[in-house]
Amino acid sequence: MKRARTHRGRGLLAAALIAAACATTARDGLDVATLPVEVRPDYTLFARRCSKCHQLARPLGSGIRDDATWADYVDRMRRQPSSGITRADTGPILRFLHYYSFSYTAGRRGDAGGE
Amino acid sequence: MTRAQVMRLAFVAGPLAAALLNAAPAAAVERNFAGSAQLDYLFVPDASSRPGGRSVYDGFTTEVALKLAADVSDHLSANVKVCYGCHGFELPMAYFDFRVADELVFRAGRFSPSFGAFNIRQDPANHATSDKPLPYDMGRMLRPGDWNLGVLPSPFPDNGVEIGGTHWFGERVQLDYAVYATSGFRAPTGSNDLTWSLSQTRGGNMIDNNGVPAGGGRVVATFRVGEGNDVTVGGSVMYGTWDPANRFSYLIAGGDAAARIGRTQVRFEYLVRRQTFAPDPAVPYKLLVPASGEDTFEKHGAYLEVERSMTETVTLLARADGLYRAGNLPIASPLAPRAAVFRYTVGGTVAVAPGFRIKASGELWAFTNDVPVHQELDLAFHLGVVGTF
Repeated sequence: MKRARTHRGRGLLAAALIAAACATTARDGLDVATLPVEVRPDYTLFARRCSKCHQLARPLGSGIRDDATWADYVDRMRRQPSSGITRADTGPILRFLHYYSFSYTAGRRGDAGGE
Repeated sequence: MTRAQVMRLAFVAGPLAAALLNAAPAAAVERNFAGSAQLDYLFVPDASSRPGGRSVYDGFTTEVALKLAADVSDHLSANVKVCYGCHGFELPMAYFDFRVADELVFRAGRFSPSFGAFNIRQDPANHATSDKPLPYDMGRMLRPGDWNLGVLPSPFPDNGVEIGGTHWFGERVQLDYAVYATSGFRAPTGSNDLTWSLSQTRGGNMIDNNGVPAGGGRVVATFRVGEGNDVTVGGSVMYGTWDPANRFSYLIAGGDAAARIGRTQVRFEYLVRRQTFAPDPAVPYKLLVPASGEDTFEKHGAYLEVERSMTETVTLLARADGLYRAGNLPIASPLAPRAAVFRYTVGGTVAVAPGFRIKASGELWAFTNDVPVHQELDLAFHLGVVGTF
């Protein structure tokens, strides 16, 4: 009886995971294929560095829309212990975040408005 | 006010005053507001079958955190974080950072001092499972009362000061350090172990119980290997006295290593807490109490986990962790003088929207008073959602 209940619990857990995985194509980051070719290396570096400690959705969903705030934000992350972010990394990361704030999201808003 | 008290006050207030006096006026204070929330359901099939009755906080639990970070100037920043969880409201962060350079940052206020690698990932939004590795368990483990939680329940905010910094040697090696003095963990006279709740906001009294700061430090090095891989190794230590008379002490030491290989993260940590205490003469103990009246126990904890992003949507994790306690304890304790708990976890997360994930995990538990034989097995299942903003 106990074993049957345990198997049922594990089955429900597996089913929930599989169902959720199949039902969503959501992602924390962006689809690289949707980015301009010149932005892709910057995004790749951003994704590599910034996913070490947290999900990419955290910065991408932060709502920050100005370069000065991004610069402070990235600098604060750079100084975190074991961040793995060098000063040299901040340039490409900020370049991507500028593109994301001013072109990518604006493009998405334009798409949404046109639908 | 005694001379010692004046010295302590100066020690805490000095960096804060320097920060406030030297800070250049900011053109505009940059503020960043962020938060996370996790709702978890813990299902333990045999939760009520133990002779001692229910010994698990199963069912729904929620952890909500709201954080405000403000850059007051180029050198001064402030962080405040408020959480709501199993203990009600908690204030895990309320501090100033005064940054002279990347290599020299003064922190003063309430914060979790730098210890271990998990500290920076302790927010539920920053780790893949609903619960924490056993060395850092704060109450989601089975039989939490028998074990008095992990080696160092996380987070462990305290009032104090910390000096730390980071430095890159070229583009390949990052070295971080931190040293700190905090109030320290505490317990009433006659306790066999630390009373964690006295260090928390719910303890109701956020002042020290013995006036002598605890101290510690951490050093960690990160090596970049290629463009997408890195290896991190670190060591931490913390020492303090816990009783009002400053007779008994705790020493916590830890080592950690982590590797990021492409989309795979491997993490390992080991912690040990060695603590002295005075067994109550009116209570029978399992082992002979030393003639000095001072006894010792050690609590070890470790975890090894492998986490891999299978796709942009799905992350899977496998983890083995455990606790081992060696030392004297009252005869009424369900633990033997050598006791252990092992846990084996598989789990994963699925993104259902950017910043919003389902978490699920299954755990096989093994408790033993005959180490390393796995004597009593238990199963537990977590299903939760976590979101960030």
